[in-house]
Amino acid sequence: MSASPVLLETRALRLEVAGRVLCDALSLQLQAGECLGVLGQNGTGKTTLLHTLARLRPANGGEILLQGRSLNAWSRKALATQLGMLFQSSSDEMPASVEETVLLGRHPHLPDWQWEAAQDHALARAALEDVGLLAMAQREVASLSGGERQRLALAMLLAQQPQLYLLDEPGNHLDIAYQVSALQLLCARLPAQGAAVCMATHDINLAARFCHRILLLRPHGEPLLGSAQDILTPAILSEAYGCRIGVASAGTRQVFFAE
Amino acid sequence: MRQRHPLVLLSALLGLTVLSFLVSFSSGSADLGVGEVLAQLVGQEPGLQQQILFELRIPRSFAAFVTGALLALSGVLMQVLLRNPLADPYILGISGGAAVAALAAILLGASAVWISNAAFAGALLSILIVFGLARGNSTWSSTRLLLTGVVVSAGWGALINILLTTSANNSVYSMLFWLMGDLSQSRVGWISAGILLGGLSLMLWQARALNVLARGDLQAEALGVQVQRLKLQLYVCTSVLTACAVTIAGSIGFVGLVIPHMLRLLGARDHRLLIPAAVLLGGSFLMLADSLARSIVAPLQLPVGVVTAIIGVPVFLLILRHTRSVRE
Repeated sequence: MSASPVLLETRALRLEVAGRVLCDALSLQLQAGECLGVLGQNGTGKTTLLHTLARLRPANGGEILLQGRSLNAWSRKALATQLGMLFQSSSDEMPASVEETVLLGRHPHLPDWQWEAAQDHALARAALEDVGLLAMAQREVASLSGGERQRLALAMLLAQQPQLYLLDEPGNHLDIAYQVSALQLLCARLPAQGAAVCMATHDINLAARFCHRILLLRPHGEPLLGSAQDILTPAILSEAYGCRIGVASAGTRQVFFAE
Repeated sequence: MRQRHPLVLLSALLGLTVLSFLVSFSSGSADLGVGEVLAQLVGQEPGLQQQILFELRIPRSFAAFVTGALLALSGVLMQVLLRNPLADPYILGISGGAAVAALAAILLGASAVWISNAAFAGALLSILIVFGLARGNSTWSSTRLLLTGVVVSAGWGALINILLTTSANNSVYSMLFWLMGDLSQSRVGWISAGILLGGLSLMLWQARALNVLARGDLQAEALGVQVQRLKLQLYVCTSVLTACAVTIAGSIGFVGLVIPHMLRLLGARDHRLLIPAAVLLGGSFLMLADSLARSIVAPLQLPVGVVTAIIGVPVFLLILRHTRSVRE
């Protein structure tokens, strides 16, 4: 693992929202093949952190490097070929079909004036197949259920083929089967693609199952970063979430629950 | 199911455009049928017919085409900019500003040229006001832009009413014609045609990015679109197109709203197809509406804005009904 190249690095990253300091000196490295979970109470800055890493908002201090190069030095389009993001919600006011929407994931890879080639259509169809939406390729986005829209957003991200996947609540609207299968699909591909995942979630059990390391954002004090075994303990979680969290064993897995 | 080759739709629209030009050339109070128009176009024979065709009809048809195309293109762009399929080119108050200035010019007894110039200046003023207010501190959201535009538009509306209620009867008549949209005095020069072509090429270049932008600002940014820059281009482009259309023909309603909708229903949601299609269909629609406006009550003429509304309202309601039944 230590031999894998570093995809993303933050140095003394400082984040503030409306004058409140979310973290002051966050330094972390994300390696190819790795899945990092970002946990924390509502409002501790999980989404803010992901948006900062995706350069959707400026950092309030410190530095972010993507593949050893300062995040701000990337052109927006080149950045989008390396870094993709799954958002908590999508906007579907404008009419579009499922297939048209997935193809948008190819946008950063295409030069101006160029239409999607056969290869882009193939990638889009493969992404739809991965999330089980291929049969609905011609449907209107507006006619999809919440869970289907989330899978569509995931398919768009898969078609984008970034090296770094930033996922904001990937389990949103998904039933338990799709929550697991979506992440299984993604995580299984990471080593081969040399890619990495950074996902913010409120689902501790999902994080325990898929994440190698955890960044735990806390309402008071600096974030905790460590391996999943070290961070996901009842004592640490209870302190961070401000409620008693218990753990039970089910076979080889541990299941966390609020008491 | 709606997957047709883009060229099929575009060629059909191109055919419609040619047909609309012929209909437009051959309608009006003087009797000049399609056959005579074609004969004149092939080999010009001097005489009254030639004069009517080349000095009255053709310039007016081109004015109608360019205006319709400007409005439909502007409508498409405004709808992406505000991410609202119900937006039209006038929603941000551009026509209001133009109207106040044009009406003031009419009140002062200005000539047609100066009424046009005043309209253009008023439109620019309104664009700057809305832009300055909506921009606020650096970033602007679609909601903020929409709210600012709607409020500024309401302000212009009040001024228009003041001008209408305090003016003498004979100028009120010209004012109403201007407000309803009228092509009888309209001519287009190279500037308007150039603006149309410029806006069309700029937005065709950005068309794929517009598809992405329709999915939301953050999503577009994450897919490699420079959202602030693109939105600024969109705002400037749609404003100048609208200002130009308003200057040519006053505020003609419904073209900018209905044409993009009809095309989306026909399956043209990809902006690379929607943008050229809107230019062709918008131009044709306004030429046909203008032909009706000239011939329904000939030798009198109706303001073309009345005709577009009379056609536009039922068509739009039908479209709304149809989309609802498709969705359900």
